[in-house]
Amino acid sequence: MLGLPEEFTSDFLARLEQLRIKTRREYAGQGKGSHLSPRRGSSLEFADYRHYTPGDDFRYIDWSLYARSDKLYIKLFKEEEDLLTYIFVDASASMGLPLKDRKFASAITIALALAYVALSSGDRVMVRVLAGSGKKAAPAFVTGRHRIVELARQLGGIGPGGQLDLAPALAGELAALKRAGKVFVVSDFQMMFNSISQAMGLFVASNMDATAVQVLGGGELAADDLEGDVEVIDSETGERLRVSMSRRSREQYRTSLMRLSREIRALCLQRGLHYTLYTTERNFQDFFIRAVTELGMVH
Amino acid sequence: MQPMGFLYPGALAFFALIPLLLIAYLVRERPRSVLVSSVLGYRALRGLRAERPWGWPRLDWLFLMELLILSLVVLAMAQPFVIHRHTPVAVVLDNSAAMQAGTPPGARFEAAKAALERAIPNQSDVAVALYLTAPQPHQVGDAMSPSRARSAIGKARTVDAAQSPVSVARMLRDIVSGHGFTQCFFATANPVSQPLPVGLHVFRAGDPLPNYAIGSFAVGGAQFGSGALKARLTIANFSSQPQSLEVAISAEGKTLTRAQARLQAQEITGIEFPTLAPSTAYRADLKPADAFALDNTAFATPATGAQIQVLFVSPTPADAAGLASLPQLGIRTLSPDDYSPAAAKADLLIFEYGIPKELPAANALLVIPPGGDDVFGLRLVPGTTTQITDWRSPDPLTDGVNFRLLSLRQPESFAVHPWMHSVVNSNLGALIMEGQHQGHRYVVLGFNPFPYLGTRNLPMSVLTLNILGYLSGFGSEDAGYRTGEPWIVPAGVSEIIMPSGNRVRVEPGIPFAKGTEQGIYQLIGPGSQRRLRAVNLADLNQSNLENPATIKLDIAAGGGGHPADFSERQTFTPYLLAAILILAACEALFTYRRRRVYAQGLT
Repeated sequence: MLGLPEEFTSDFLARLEQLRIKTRREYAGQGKGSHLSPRRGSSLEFADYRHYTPGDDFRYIDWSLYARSDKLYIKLFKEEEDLLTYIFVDASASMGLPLKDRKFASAITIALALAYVALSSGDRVMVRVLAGSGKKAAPAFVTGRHRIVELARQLGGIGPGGQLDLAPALAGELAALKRAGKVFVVSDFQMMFNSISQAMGLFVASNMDATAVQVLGGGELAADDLEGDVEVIDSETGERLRVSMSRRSREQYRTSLMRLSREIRALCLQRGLHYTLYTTERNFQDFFIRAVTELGMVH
Repeated sequence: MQPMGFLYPGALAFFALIPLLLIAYLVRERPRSVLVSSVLGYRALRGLRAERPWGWPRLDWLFLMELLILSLVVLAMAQPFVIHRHTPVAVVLDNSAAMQAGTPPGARFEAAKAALERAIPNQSDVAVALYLTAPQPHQVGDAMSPSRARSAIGKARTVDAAQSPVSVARMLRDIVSGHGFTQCFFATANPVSQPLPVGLHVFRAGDPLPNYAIGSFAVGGAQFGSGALKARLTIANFSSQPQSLEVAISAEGKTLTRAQARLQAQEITGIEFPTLAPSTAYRADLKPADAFALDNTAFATPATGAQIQVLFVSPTPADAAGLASLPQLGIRTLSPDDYSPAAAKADLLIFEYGIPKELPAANALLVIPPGGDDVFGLRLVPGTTTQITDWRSPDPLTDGVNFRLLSLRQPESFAVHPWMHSVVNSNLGALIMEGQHQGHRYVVLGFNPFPYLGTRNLPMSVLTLNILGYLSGFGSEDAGYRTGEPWIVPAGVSEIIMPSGNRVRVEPGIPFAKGTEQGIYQLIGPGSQRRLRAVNLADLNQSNLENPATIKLDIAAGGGGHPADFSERQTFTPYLLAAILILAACEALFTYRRRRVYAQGLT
């Protein structure tokens, strides 16, 4: 449908429109929106008082306080602005393997779903692709739910490839951003834990509210296509390892991957970030609706 | 403990291939490279790899299966076996025609079978070899257990054929002295010469019986060119009293003629019936009946009675003019250039001054053939033949011919032939040769008799008639075909219907050895053409139940052979081959599934 992933049925889109992104702090936006901003504005949310100065709008004088204190105070309200939402999609070579798991396609689907939630809430969305091949769009915000088609077309032209060092790549991206906001990182996080830790630290340092979405393949976890002595080659670093695959070693491999996921989750929770894991053999729509809280969204 | 061994122990050297398999496995097990998203998860597995000594590839069950298959193959090549030792016992049962005698019929044979069944020891290690004596002494199957041997004896049947006492004696000698049997039990109606060798036990089945028998029975033309048929029988009175015997000849269910003769005790005589009505088959019945019914009946077919088609192949067809005057001949002439085997549809072929390019599929006469041919391999003897030196007698070709009266103009003589024998010889070689090959009769003449047919040269005319009669099936005065004696299947015959009605597929030119039933055999040719052939017992020695022939053993008394090792070798090779096939199939299946899973992983 309009170049969107097949999971984007009309029912699913309707359910996405009922969601909105929730941040743990208030971020200043670029226009009117539905998220409370640290700026003072005209929302119904009371923020503070200040002494009346000539020229202030009489409508905001708190008359009951004047009656008690015989002093004129002006009520200040919070401003409601849109949320700047940044979505980083890992398009490194590891996202393309194993082929049958279609990890990168799942990552794009997740990114588009997140973007649609933001766009339908009136927020601004910027999607950035880390590594990968193909023509990448210039960094720019898009608004309006109809722009989801444009985002889908842009991401559809990207293929997995290349090596990604997450922390430096994110540092470069974050340095180019002028304002903080909500960040989603969609990746398999098949990289050294130190790099992941540094990347999460960057979000904290940049005052970003981040959500890490880890995408792993069902076949990648099972590794049931490997038997006997095998030389495995890392798709990004080219590192080679000779291993003997058996039922026991496959179990150990799976345990190792899941341990890495738990460590990433613990790291995120420790730093006040959101984390969720999606394995490709799961039903996407079911995952997304169930993982609303973990993704940092509310109904 | 049963001894084991290997038929080809040298094959065990192939066990040295196992290290080669190991090397091949190591080469094959070079780990295949697989591109994965990340090797992070695999790093924990390196510890597993270090657990194995020397860092060798893991020897999984597939390798062990291949090792097992190779071992089994080597074992199968060596052909292991175990030896089951047995106590060998030979049982010889006389199943000749004479064993049908008795009251009720077959009582002799049943008594012989019962005696042998009782005689077989019951020990489990006994291996019984069962032999029958007729039509030729032969073993029935392999060595068997006592119970199976009794069952086989119970199923044994007599044949209508006689047994040869000489052949039976030779077989007994081999059994007792040569084959290492510990004991031999022989049941027969014939007396066996005494003393008996150690280990041979003879059961005499049946007492001497008076018997009246038909010996030979032949029906044929009185002479070639004559339409009359005559019959000749030999009858015998094997009793101690004179007896009047009556013979009745019938055809197609109707009695044609009868004759009586009074025979003294042990007398054999012949009876002739000079004129018989034409028929395809005849049956002779002898009265009074006795305890051996088989030889009271005999069958015969006339040698021939129909028109004989002759194909005369000659560059001078006019030479056949003299033959055309003979009443039973239909002559067709052909030049040698027009002759082809496909066109040679005749009962008799005559080649004058020439030889066909392949052996004719019919009886043939070669008149002055050129020598040095590849078909018959005839070789002419150079020189001038001056006189006839000798001739065979009696012989159907020379019957009634005084060759000294023959005057031949420059005849040719032939050298010795591999399968034809000379009938008339000159001072250089054979002038007339005859022989049978692939079921057909062939006669070769070194001179041309046809210009002399008629009264101008009476000996030559008689010789010509003899030749034509011989080639047409006339002139046979013997008793015809006898039960148990193989005969060549004539050309064109593809099937034979036995007297019992059983049908047997046959090939022309191949000996037919299943003629053990007395009666009329139907020879089926192309287009369901049917020829009849009578086969009779026709053995008065067999019919002499009062004084049956003694089986003379030429083995010294007590001189039996040493009991030899009579063992049965049981090989395991078939089981090994079956196991190899099953294991190989399992390995192939597993390998296929493994590759399929890998292929799915790549896609």
